[in-house]
Amino acid sequence: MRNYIIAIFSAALLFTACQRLDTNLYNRTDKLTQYELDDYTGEQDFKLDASYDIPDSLVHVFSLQSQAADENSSTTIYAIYIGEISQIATDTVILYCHGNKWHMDFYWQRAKLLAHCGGKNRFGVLMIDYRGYGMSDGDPSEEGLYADVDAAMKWLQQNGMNNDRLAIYGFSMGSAPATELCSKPRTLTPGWLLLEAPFASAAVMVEDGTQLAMPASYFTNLEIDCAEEIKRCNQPLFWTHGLADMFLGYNTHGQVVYDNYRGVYKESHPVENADHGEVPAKTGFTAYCNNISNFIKQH
Amino acid sequence: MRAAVIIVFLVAILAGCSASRFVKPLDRGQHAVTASFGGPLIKFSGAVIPIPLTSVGYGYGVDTNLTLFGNLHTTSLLFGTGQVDAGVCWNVVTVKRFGLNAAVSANMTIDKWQKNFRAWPVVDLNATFDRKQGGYCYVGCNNWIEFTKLRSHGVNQERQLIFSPQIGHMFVKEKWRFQVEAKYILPYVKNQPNAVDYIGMNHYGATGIYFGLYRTF
Repeated sequence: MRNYIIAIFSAALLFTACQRLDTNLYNRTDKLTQYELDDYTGEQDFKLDASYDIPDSLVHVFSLQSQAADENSSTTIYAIYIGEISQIATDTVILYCHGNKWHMDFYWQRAKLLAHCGGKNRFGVLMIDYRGYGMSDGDPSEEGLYADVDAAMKWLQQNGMNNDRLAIYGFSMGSAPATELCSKPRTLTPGWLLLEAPFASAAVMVEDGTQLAMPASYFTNLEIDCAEEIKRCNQPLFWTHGLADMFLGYNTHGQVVYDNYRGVYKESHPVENADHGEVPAKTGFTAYCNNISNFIKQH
Repeated sequence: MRAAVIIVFLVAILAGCSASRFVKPLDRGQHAVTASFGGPLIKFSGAVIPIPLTSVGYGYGVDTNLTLFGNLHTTSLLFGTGQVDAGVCWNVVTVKRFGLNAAVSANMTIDKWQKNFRAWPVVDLNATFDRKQGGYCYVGCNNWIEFTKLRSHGVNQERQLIFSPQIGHMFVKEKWRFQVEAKYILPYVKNQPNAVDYIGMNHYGATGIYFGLYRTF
């Protein structure tokens, strides 16, 4: 009987198409022609007041070449560094891996906020637009995410960065490259891992969506699996998540990642009434910055 | 992230993925081919639409009160996931114009990528009322049974039963039948947090609308 069922399925699968939903995951806009940063007037999660302004001399927009292991040519991606490039050899730098939505203009306020954690322009912050996002060329892919963030690490390394002064921060989808590159380091091994509203895995998204124990492979070939990758991370872990996150659930996504961490130190910062993207604002900018700077200073 | 991910889950709700199958049995020796369209309602690009799930099927009246049926889920096929269901529908009791009918089936799914196989028993119970002309209406429930105890990452699978009350009407005209059905999937379960913007009352459950077309011969 079992063989009969398998035979029926096999016959049916011969006629199936090879559509996958992977490429539809990525939420990008039309390609940008320039970054507007503080002049950006589109939707943003929050906007900081003038006390968080960054002098123009400390804002560097530039391009990088990113090439995944299975690619024959490189892709041009764009990056923004906040801070003195000449001081990367001595500064602590946060590599910010943004979420799935849009581009660096959307996340500019967040990058500025991180630069001010622990004092005005205390940390250098490097942010990139993954391939296919913002002004970056190419089309997004899972391996592309990792390659692009690694390209950012290469740039940091070329400018004097080492493992001990590099923190990596992943928000939402950005938790995937952040966790992956801590779990399986490439150019650099970050010294700290910070996750905001992490994405546990494609499997969890499918299970939340269906309420059944349904394999993710029914819909996607994405192998993003922060909940498993985190088990191999040994960096101190900082996790913050909105208790009212209606997109990536606190319990089904964030808590699973946090619980699976087996490294040297971890701390959690649940945020009351915060939906996805509201963690910095609902925590309070000062408290949010203090939490991050204390974590980096003390661990 | 939300807007784009909704697309990812256009075929995500396999539970409640079609109208109730063969609400009443066919006549003895009768054949029917069927097509079904519809799914849970979601917000998509500002509009409310049903997830466009489709299936085609076949039924055969083994006896006056027993029909065998099978269905192939065509939307899933487009994405490399084979999904079929097969089962029986029988009339439990009929009193004048009222009837009680049950359908028991197995919904089986496998993907061509990782060959993951899952099967869920599905039980439909429907009370029917024959109108004097034009068909019958029905009210009942659809029940998916989940035997798996653990979700991914070793998390407990909370729900072993996916219960969905439903109401519908079968328009019958000679050799053609047209079915319209409304279903309320898990009306007692919060539909947030979730990557999919389901339409449910006070953010509970997911309402769905389904259409079926039958040709008997």
